[in-house]
Amino acid sequence: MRTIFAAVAVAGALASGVRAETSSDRWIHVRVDDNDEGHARVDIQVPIGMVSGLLPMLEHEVGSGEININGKDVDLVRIRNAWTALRQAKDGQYVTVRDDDADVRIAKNGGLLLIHVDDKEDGDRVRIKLPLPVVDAALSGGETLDLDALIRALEKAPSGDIVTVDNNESHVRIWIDSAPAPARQDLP
Amino acid sequence: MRRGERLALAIVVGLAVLVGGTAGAAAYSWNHAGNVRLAVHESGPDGMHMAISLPAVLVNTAIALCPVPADLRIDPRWEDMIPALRSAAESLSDMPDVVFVDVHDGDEHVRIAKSGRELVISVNTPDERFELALPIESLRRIAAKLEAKVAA
Repeated sequence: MRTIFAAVAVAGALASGVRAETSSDRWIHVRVDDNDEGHARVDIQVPIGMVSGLLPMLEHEVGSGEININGKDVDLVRIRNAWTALRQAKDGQYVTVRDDDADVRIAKNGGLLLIHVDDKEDGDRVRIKLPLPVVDAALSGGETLDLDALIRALEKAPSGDIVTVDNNESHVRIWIDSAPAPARQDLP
Repeated sequence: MRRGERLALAIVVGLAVLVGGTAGAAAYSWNHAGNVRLAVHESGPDGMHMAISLPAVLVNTAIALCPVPADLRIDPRWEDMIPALRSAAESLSDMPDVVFVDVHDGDEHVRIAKSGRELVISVNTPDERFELALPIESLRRIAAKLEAKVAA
């Protein structure tokens, strides 16, 4: 009888462990609210682990050796070198650009890379808040961004917003959480 | 009760248990597997109205028995996606009910959700309503079969 109880207890513990592992999945959420006539609303949420399965598809789209920033191809090696220098530096604001088109600020604070862009022409207000290990992982690849490492790092990232974009036409929010959110329409 | 009668009774009870057990197991399996449901409703006097509900146990059997066509060509990009699809289908079964995609644009609404043991895709527009419910197990079996075909 004791053996049966022990077996049931072990099975229960294993089952709860499996359940815990499943429920500890991190979720990435994307929410877009359009302010145009139709007031379109888009909500997407998937477990980050599931995104990694889709990477082979994305890898066809990621160019080699450079990435496109604001319509300009920027050499990955240059970005990586700049990041290495920034990574080793103390917390602080490292880039401040103010011109007629936009204000850009790049800072490192509390284990986060903070990028603020205020576009004066379009009224875009971009806020990016990335944990440093996520940037490390993204830039750890060779010729391209290492998407696989990026996803693995995102799985360990703390909950919270990583990107928000606001302008007159829309509001975009991307965040990480430990659970799926109920659909907005289903909320009371 | 004579010995012959006891034997006959034992055979009858045994058969009843066998038939009842088989029927119960089949009913459980039928119910547990769910249904593949497809519903399309178009508005207007000439609009099409179609609703199909197929027991998933039959679909799963067909997936198991029917060979993948030998001349089936899969786009290389989709080939990369098939293992991901199978892996996603496997992890879906452990997930709570969740809405993966919810898009509202004016009168149009698209939703992809996991509900119970099904993946439900619904599209509602002023002109038509479409709903497809696929048991996750059927999805997993299709993906596993395609994966085996790609690997071969």
